Amino acid sequence: MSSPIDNAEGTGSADPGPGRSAELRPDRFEWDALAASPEFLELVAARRRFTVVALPLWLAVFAVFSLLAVYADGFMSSSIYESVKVGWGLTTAVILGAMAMPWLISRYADRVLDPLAESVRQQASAQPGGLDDGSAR
Amino acid sequence: MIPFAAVNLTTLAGFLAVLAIVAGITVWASRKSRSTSQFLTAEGSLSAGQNAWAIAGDYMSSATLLGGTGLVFVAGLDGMYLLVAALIGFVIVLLLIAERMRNSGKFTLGDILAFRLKERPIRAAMGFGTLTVSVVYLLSVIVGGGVLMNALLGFSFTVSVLLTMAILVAFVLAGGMLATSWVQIIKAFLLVTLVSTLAIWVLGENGFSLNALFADAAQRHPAGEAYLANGLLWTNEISAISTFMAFAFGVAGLPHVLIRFFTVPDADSARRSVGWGTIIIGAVFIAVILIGFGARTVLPDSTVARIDPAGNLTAPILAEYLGGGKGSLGGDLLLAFFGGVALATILAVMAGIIIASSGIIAHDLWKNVVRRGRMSDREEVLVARVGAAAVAAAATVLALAAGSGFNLALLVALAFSIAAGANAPAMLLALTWRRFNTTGAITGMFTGLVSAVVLIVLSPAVWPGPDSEGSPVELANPAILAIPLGFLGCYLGTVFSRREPRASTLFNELLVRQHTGLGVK
Repeated sequence: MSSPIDNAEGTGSADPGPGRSAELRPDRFEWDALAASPEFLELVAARRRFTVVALPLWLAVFAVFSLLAVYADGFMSSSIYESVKVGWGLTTAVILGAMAMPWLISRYADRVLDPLAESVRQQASAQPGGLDDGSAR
Repeated sequence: MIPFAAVNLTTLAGFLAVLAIVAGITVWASRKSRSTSQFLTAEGSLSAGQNAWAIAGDYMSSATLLGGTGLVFVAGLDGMYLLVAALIGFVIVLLLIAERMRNSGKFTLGDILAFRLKERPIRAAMGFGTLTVSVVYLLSVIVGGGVLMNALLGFSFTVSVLLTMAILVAFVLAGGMLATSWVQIIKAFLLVTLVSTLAIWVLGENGFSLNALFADAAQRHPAGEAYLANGLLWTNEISAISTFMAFAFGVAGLPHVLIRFFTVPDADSARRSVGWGTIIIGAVFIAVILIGFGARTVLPDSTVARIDPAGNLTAPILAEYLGGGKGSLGGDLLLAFFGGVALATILAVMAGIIIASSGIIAHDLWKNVVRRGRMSDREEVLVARVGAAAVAAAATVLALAAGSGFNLALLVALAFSIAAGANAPAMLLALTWRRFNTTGAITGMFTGLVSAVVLIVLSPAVWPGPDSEGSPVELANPAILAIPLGFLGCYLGTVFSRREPRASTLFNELLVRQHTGLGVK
């Protein structure tokens, strides 16, 4: 397999890659090895565990809210308390929910994701000069 | 008509005060914005808290302040729903994009795609897509600014537009992203002060009782109880859902909001700035809703008659009325404050969009497509400045051609739906799908963009004439079709074309970068 830096396919030898400018690649890490490392896989899995719950849940909030807003006239115009209607209450509740979501994400990232990301970064800087020796895979 | 005939001097003073602040910031920032990174991203020097205010400032345009209050004032419950969709989009961006942008990009959305796809074609395509969104969005803000200055100051629409743009271009060229960010921050702060004052005021007028506020509002609205029910604004269900979708998914393709993540130092700051930004925006939205209903309860019939049918002038007229009415000192002062905040809002949002566009022109199109990456930093800043002026000039010409009769909400929804259909699918798939390739990305962007634009042109708002019957497409907003078509284009383009050499390694690189921030200074 070709290595990440040995990729000057048909272009000048100083070229950083097929049609890629040099500034995109200030560091030459062994990306394949890093991507396959247990720490990185754990990081990706941890993020996925959060996303597969949070994203569908949030999209469901959006879908249910949109459908209620368009089709459920009777429900939205029913009263919470006299003239205070469900439509207003639900709108405010979703806005408050949107304000809370980022903090749930942040909390999870601080506790779980950031330490894992840090260990991957340390592993990368431990690579000999961060350079690929062509033995990957 | 003499353009300066009926200039309101007190309001003018409010405008001038804002301009003085903006000029001061620009002079300070111009000493610092020499390098490309400084001009386009303020060199990642903003703190999470500062960036949060700037994000809120970027996101809340005059459409929120004027259009939001107006929609609620006119249509009650139906008017609020759009605001919710717009905020939901923010959380989607946070879940999927914010942190990854910070970790793997530098100046533009094209940077992220360029990591793993063929750089020149993908930068050209993404540059074209994001530039289209920016110009359409800019157009809506300019028209809004012209209408507002026309209403508040008495300048003619043409003079208002030319004046705003001249001020703006001078300020962006000299101050770059640093000045833009600080104007955003100050504007967001002023906006929060203004809307919370107005919201508490109208609540107080109703004895701080929500029940009294809603009951009185419904009683004074021509529709009566229907004002507190669905249906005053959205008569076509599918159009309504489509518009919600444009706002919910369009944020993920709005260049001027997404480049905000480049102005903070790391992923943690990006997350926290979206967190605080969402709180600020959410609070403003809640206040805007109360102001819309509250204006119904407070304003006497004679004043309501002065509000345009779209409701855009609800908030300024309310401010004037609460201050003591037309011609009174208090009314003039409050209107002047309102005018100043509105001007700051318009300038700040326009500046954000122009910075984003100049980045696209200088970094994606000029440096990496035309010059193949071989170019000095000095030339890049120069092109960025020329690009900023060019985008501003193009949007000004379009705005003057379109005139003040254009429907603002339509223009904003248009920008969002193009962003959602053309840019968002390719962005999301580039970050997550290993098999994705250049052909797929370009096919997807093209299908999304073309379907959005074609559906808009054929929609009731445009075809065969403004807001007329008998158009071939009944959808008022194309997002419900354009988003799936964008994804479908990405998918089909990818599976029907060859795998790219080294695609897997390049994806691994992007994957590691976006999750860890490796390689970002």
